[in-house]
Amino acid sequence: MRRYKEMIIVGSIAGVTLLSYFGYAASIKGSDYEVESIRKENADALKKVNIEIENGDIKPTRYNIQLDGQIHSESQNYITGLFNSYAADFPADFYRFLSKEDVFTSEMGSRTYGIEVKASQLNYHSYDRSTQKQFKKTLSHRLTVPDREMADIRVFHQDGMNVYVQRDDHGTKEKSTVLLLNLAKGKVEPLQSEQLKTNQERHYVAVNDYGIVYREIAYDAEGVEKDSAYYLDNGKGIKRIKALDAYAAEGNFNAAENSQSLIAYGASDSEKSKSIKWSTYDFKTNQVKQHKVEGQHAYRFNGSYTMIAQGKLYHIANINDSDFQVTVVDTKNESISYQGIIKDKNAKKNRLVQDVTVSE
Amino acid sequence: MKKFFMLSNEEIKRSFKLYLSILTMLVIVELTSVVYQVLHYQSKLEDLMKKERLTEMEAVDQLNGPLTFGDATNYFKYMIAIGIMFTILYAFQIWYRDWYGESKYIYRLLMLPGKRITILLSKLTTVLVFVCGFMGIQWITILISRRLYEWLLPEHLQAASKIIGESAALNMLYTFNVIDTFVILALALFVITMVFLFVLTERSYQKGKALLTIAKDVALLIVPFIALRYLFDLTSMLIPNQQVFVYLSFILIYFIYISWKCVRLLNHKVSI
Repeated sequence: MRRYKEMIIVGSIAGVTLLSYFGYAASIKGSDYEVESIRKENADALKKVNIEIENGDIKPTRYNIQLDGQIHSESQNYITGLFNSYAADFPADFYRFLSKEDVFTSEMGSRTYGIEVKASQLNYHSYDRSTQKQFKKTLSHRLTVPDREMADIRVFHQDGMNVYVQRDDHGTKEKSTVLLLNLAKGKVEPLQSEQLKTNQERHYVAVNDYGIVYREIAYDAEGVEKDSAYYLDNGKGIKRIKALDAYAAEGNFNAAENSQSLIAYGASDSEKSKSIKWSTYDFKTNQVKQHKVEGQHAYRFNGSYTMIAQGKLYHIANINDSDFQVTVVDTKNESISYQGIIKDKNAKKNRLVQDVTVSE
Repeated sequence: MKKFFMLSNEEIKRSFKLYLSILTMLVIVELTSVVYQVLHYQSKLEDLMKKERLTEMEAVDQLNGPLTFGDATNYFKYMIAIGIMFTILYAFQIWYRDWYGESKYIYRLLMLPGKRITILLSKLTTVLVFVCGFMGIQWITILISRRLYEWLLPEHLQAASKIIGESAALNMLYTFNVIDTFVILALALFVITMVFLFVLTERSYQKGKALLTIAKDVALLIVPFIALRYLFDLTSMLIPNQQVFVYLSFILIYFIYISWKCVRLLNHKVSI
């Protein structure tokens, strides 16, 4: 043993100190979640809701929680960091298409779109994560090829085989164009083209029999937002939808399934409340109706997550430093179809809901 | 196995004092830097309060808030850089001292019975154990520094932060994930093996040919990487996750190649 004295000393220094580091790392406790359902109507539907929560801790971990109680956690490391988790959500050929330099990517609900504009054709690909269905179509068109650095193309509304696209050209003059991709006929039809004022931005929201709805934001010279509002352009005139002013700053909306109304949510509310609120704007009557349901617990507005999918409103919010209340609301009959608590047995703070997906 | 342990011990013995001196120096400099940063912050605070007639809170505001642990360990990144530099220089020195030392130790090493790969493995193990020691001692220094920071600085002047603070260098080294530590050690192993290949190539060929061979081996790493990148960009034939898999496989194959070449040079080419 004495022959190896130096080796033992240096080995011990390395071994003991590194083991103390590993011991410290192992002692760091993550969250230990469990789902406690308070009210549920359809147990099968719970499997389809996946809530992704991330921690801002020393040891980054991602938790995937299903409302039926299935929980998966994944610690991130240098190897997993090399692999793009976004790519894992798509079929290889769809992701390959999205990765092409001249393809414009956008997302709407569970659908991801990729649009490539070439000199004489437009390549349209879409993938629905909830149904896992992919759609490809090549459409003929006669539009200028956008400059990748100076333009943006995104899908903002889909009605069956009609896909509505906003194209922005940020050249010397800001121009916003609405295109209809008629997937059934394989045609591209320009619907509207507007020259915007400087310090102005436009986001198209929905298209229906009453016209085209968009949200317009005006900035001052310093780039600070000074006004934002929803507008309805029916081809003859443009009117500001004043009833939606309270929601315009947040910009959270969904066109209802029948496209006859707009559901807006996420407007600033009191810091602690039991009420989950949303509004519907009826195009026909030009009226806004407020809706609310009462949850079991008072929740914190800051950090709350709301989204609408398949006619249901999903609301996830902290009820204390570590636990979340999950509420699924049927927007048609204003009733809670599910409510539950995601409890952290280790009561860890600073967790954030990153994403909510609902599969069909 | 016995030969491997004997040789490894011999290598460690020969650098034992130097290594312990560097470790001690790094620890002393780092702990001193923490004390300096804390005292310097407090003296700046007092100066501001006296000269500008500010309250302590106002003076703290003027100094951009309380002193964070990341600020207090600001010099650690330079010490880590010195540690990395030392490791790379030591990977050269562990071979060259055998040739240029007074006793021409390399004669004895190469004449030893048994496989020469043991010589390579013992040197590689020595450098890797030193790297582990650096990482471990740095961790202990962070823990002691944290105590020092909490002890020297009044609580209201401290900023809440995680145990290693906000330093990017420390956050890269200590992610609290065991896999990451092994990734860092694997990277160190790759770099050390590259250095060993350069030394053994230089010792195996005449100057011009040695330089050309080294350039060829470096090109064998860089050119395929650039070519793969170009090919992937041009054709989009693989999705990014598949590309990462190809890159990692290539690095693994390259590592096997340089390891094999080190052994081959040591067995057949190295001249005394």
